[in-house]
Amino acid sequence: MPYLRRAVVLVLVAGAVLWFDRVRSARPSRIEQASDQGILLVGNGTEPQTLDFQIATGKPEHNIVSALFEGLVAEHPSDDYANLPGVAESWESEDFITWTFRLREEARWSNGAPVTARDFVSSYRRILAPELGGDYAQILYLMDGAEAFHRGKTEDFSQVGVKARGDHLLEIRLIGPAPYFPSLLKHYTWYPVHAATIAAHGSLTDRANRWTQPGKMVSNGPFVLKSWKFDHVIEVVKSHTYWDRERVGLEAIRYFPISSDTTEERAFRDGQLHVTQTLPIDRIAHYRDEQPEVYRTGPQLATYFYRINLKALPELADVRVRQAFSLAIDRQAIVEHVTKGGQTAAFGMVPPSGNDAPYRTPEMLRFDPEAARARLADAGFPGGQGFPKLTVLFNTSEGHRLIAQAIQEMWKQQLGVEVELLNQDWKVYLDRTSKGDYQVCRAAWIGDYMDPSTFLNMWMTDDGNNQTGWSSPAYDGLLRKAARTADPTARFHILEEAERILLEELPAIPIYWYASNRAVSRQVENWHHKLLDNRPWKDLRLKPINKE
Amino acid sequence: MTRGGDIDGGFGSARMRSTSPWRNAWRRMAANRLACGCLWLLLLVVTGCLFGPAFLPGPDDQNLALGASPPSTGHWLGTDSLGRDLLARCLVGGRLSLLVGLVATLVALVIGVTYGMLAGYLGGRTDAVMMRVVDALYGFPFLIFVILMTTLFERSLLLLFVAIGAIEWLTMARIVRGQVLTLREMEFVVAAEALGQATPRILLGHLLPNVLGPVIVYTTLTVPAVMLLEAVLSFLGLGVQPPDASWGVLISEGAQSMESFPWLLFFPAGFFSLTLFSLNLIGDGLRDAFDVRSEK
Amino acid sequence: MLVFFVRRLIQAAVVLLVVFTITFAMVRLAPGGPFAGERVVAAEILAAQEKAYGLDASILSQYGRALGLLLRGDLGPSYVYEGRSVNDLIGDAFPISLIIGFAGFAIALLIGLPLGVLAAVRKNTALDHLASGGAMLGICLPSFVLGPILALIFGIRLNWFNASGWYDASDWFLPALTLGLFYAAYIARLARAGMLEVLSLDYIRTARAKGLAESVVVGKHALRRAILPVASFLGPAFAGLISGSIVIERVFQIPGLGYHFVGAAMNRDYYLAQGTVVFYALLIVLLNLVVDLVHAALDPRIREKGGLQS
Repeated sequence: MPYLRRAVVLVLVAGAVLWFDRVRSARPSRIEQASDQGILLVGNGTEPQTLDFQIATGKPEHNIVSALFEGLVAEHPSDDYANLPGVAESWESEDFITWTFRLREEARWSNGAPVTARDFVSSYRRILAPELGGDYAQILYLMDGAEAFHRGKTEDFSQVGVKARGDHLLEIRLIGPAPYFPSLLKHYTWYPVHAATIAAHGSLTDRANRWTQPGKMVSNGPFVLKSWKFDHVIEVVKSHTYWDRERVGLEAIRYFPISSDTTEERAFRDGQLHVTQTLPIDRIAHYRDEQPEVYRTGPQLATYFYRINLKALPELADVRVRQAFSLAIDRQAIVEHVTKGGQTAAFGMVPPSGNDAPYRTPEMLRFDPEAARARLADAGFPGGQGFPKLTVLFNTSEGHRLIAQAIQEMWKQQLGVEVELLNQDWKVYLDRTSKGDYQVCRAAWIGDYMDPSTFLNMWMTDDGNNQTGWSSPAYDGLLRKAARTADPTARFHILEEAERILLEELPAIPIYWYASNRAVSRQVENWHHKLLDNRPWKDLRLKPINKE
Repeated sequence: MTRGGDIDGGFGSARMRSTSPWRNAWRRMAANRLACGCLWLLLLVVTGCLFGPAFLPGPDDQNLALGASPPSTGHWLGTDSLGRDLLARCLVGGRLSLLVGLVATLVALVIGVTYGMLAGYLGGRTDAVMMRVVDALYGFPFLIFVILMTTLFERSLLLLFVAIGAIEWLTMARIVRGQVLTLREMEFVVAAEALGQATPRILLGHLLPNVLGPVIVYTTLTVPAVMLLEAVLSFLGLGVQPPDASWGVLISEGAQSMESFPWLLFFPAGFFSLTLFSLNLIGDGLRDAFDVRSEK
Repeated sequence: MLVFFVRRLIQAAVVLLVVFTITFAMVRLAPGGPFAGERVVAAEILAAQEKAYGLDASILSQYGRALGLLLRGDLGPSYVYEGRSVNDLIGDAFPISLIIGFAGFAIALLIGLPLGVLAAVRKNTALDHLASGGAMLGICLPSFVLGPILALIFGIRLNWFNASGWYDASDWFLPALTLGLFYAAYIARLARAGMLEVLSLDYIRTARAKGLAESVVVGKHALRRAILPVASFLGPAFAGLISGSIVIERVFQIPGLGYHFVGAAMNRDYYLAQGTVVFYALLIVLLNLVVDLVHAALDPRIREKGGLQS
């Protein structure tokens, strides 16, 4: 009898499991449901710290803000260089210093109010207000008088080079000729805010002003904010007031902050996401070989490099030592065997931006262990003898750690220099680098706009981001000269000359140029790889699954 | 309580006072084949960790072109993503993990048992104050504590011991105190007090042997817990500095790529589990050996 | 009894104050402030940001302000998540961690307790070794290994549950299972040890001698005392469970409390770090109180003397 009872129980349990399996495994996936409703599901890295883009600093914030707001100039779906009309119908400038923008009359805020030139003036006034403390306001420094106002040197905003000449005519005056200015305007710091709405919810310059909450936010882009569930999802839906609403191909976009790349990849496989933010290194080969139809990769406008603190050790102030360190790094091995995600071994500081790019990065960095040893011997350390033990600082991350270990080994093998690794959490790392309390540290720089100056300005003597103690009057002079040169070709020649100095002196050793890797589901149409990864969300379409 | 209890309690206390229980325990332990087998296994792992790397390629020797490769005759357990020999890394990592596990547990054990016994035996107001101190320390979330410690001080092994030990003794103290609270009402303790024995004598002679059972079990739980904490810290990037590795570091690295390179997770996790498994069975054996009352 | 409670409440307040003060000091001593970022901003701008949040005031007046807010039940603003208060952040995340923690706790008890008791009753049999071995496996696998494995099996291969996320009513299951299996292993081992201890005691022998059925002896007489060590463990374990786990939250993408503990300290989000620590301490203090009460209820001798008079 007990055997019979056990058998009955066993059968019942097995039946229950089978029934459960049948019911659960047949559930439609989330992207199937969403595709039918025209809702795009996007993996978006980390939880946005704020949607007030005038104080925002991160990529996740940018992805959402660029769906909610629109600047004077708009992004092209595939071409990074193209500048499409946004709120501005057209623009013109004779000397590349004074620019006039004609705003389109049908542009509307989500509350129905027209978008006017005065909105832009009050927006720039807000982002430059010192009390607001906008981190990225520096990007506006190209505008005449912006820096003085932002740094509190003057309180008279009329000194700043932005004027509304009528409802739909905006004039911006720069500190010098900048032919690339329209491309810069695609950066979110140049977007407009609806000042009256912000003022209605508190002080205009209060960072904690809650105007960015759903129901309160007024925006002028193709989408409006619908809901914001902290650490879970942000949903934006198609705007009914947007001037180009006919072209908006999606009903809604949901952004999921998934900070772990392995979790995000599982979510993609589970049918929860149309688009991932990234892919785990060890899964890239799988996608490349097995699912090429969803694998998207391409170069990014970003450089990974090691900063060298010239003030930390007398040895590091010797240019030959820095050159030896650079020559001893096998960059090709690092991108092929360590990062493995389609990154490019860097031969300069400025990442190449396309085959027909107007700027040519000088090819100066190479791997040459012989020359490296010779250079170090010249400096008085043959075979690394007598060279002090070096400490490489990096912030905690699996990727940085692997690269640091690879470079540690290369310097030890090729140069005989002993290296100690020190990983610190992000804030300690920042604290130490900004105070110059390091010898060598890992760093990265992501381009803000399509121009080499975004990678070169930071190495000027007084720039806060230099942090190496390196100072070259010749370099500073060239960059200042470039800022005064209107002719693009001549300007690029000057910048190239400057980059040569940088690569000769090597206050920072470029390692590789970034690449993006992500999975994009087949339902998503019109998704193109872009160097800056700035996407005009309105151009994306979803094809329902059943149409396949 | 029945009269039998009285007699048995008296008998128990008589046994406690003699020195023979230790020898008896050892005899019982030796008779436990499973526990002894585990002891040998543990010895093997420890020996391997101490002396094995001498016969293997260096744990930091890279071969970038080779990359992550599955087990082969050249590398018995395969190589990691930088082409380093996994067996060598596992053995060297074992040194660190065992060190962290044992030292931090020892710290926790000594502080926790002393503190818990005192609190439980002294009772009353002293007990209340002592336990509130434990509560206050419990009130600190461990991770915040460690993160802030690592930012305030240079990161080092010593810091890891202190941080983990300082957390782990709390539960030990609570468990011991709970036991002592019950034990000191028992007849043999009351009897010892009535006979006017000194407090240290009562603590060491009567109470300690009787709390040893739970203490040993909890210790064998603490060693894995400590090693796991170290692993979680490694997962969060707060563990040891590279290129040094512990089992925790290796497991968390392996877990990242468990689908593509399963051996990178499997072998370190195997070492880790085998060691913890042995530790626990040894702990069980010890517990049974020390538990005089479990003889039937 | 009332005196006992009042006294414990006063003690709790002191504990909270100490915890708060130490955290306040520690987060501010840690290098790097909440507004440090990859791109260096001008000193004037950093000063403006710090002024906006009162960080330019003296450390003592900042302490006074934070304490004043705390007394009013306000944990202050978050520095990193602009426009959100710490109360909001904890209020959003805690219910989710509570659900998962509670479910994990239930799973841990449901699996761990019977397994431990069974192993003790059938000591040194195959069942004991199987149960103990299974429990060991649970302890040996860190949650950042177990979690992804469960997600791959039940989320992706079988598609029974969502591999991650917080969408459906069933999304608590996998995270709770990951949490619960770990704690179940602990409970099983503590229960086994406790049970073995008790089974050898006189009153159990007496009960057996009286000819009571084994199930009654174990279930009614022994179990009560046997779970004492378990109960000591459960208090803090429960607090640990319901305050979330950063590892589980990352693996399963759960908007819970665990992330804030680590994130706040890492980001130097001063008020959030203080707030989460105070909140956690409050949970611990309350749960310890409960444990003491349970202890007393389980063991009549403590109730009569000692324990509760403290």
